[in-house]
Amino acid sequence: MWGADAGRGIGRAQANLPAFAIAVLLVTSTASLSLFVVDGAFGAVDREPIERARAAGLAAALVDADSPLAERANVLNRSRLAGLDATFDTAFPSASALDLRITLDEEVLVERGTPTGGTSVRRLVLVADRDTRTIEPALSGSEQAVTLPRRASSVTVALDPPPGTTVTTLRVNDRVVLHDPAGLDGQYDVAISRFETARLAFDVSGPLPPGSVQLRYRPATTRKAVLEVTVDA
Amino acid sequence: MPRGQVSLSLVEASVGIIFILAVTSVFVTGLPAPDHRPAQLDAYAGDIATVLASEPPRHADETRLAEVAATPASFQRERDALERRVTRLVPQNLLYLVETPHGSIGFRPPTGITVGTATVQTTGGPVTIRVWYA
Repeated sequence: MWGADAGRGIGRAQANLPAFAIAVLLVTSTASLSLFVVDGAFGAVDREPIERARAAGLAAALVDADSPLAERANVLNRSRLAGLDATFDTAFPSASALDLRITLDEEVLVERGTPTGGTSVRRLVLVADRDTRTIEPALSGSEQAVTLPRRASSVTVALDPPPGTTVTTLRVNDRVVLHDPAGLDGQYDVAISRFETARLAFDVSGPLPPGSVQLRYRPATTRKAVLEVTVDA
Repeated sequence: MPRGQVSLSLVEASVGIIFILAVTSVFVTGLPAPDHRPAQLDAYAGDIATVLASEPPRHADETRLAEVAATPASFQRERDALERRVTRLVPQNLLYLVETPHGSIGFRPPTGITVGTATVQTTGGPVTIRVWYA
């Protein structure tokens, strides 16, 4: 084609130079416009994973076994939850600058900034409430033993035996936890397992009247709740 | 015989622009939002597993899940209590399936839906908890 039109083609070829310049201009301007659009699209998409990562990370830190709220993993102490608003900034300094809201079953625990919308992560937790129970068992007969009615992680044994009677040994589920040949007297904190029912047996030289043994323990009552962390980055 | 002809460069440029705009249109129409439900469901399943795994047993063994997974007899004895417990734990909009070596409790998950999974190893074998949106 170029060969056949060689005679007239010189003029056409010259005229193509401005057309080529316009073409390059069009392509480059379109490309740069596209870059702006793509950049904006990436900027908009990037926001949400950061929000989600922050919300998920904070929620995981709150329910973790090492959390300042937790008694163990996924079990939160009720009184520490109630005080979370005051302790949040020192416990989670990296999160306090965010716009966030922490709710427990729709009840707002912590709110920082003004989160509107944002990303929410929900976790299932148990809220543990501990109340102190005291029993004063009447120990008599050959087997001076008592079974704790509820499981707990520790029990405080207050011993005040009458004169002439010595309590030498305390066994929990047949394991010796306290022993003193001269006689146990006073308050003792005994760690017990919350996975098994505790049976406390005393080795006593005589009968123990009511009031000489006092057991204080703190069984946990738990209720289920949904912890929701909303972060609006 | 002069004919009105569009410059070849402009034709090439317009084809190029169409290519560029085709790519750009993907971003303008928006990328599909990623599905976050699997992560949330996995978190739910993990929470249920953690709670059950650290709960004391009703009768024997180390934990509640170990008790259920221990023997067929203990599974039969504990299944109703565990079912009540899990039903209380999971949010209302979820259904669940707890698989133990000796049987399952809960519901059968429909095929082709997103299911969150968590597995706990016990002395009796693995216990798998699956949850999905009802």
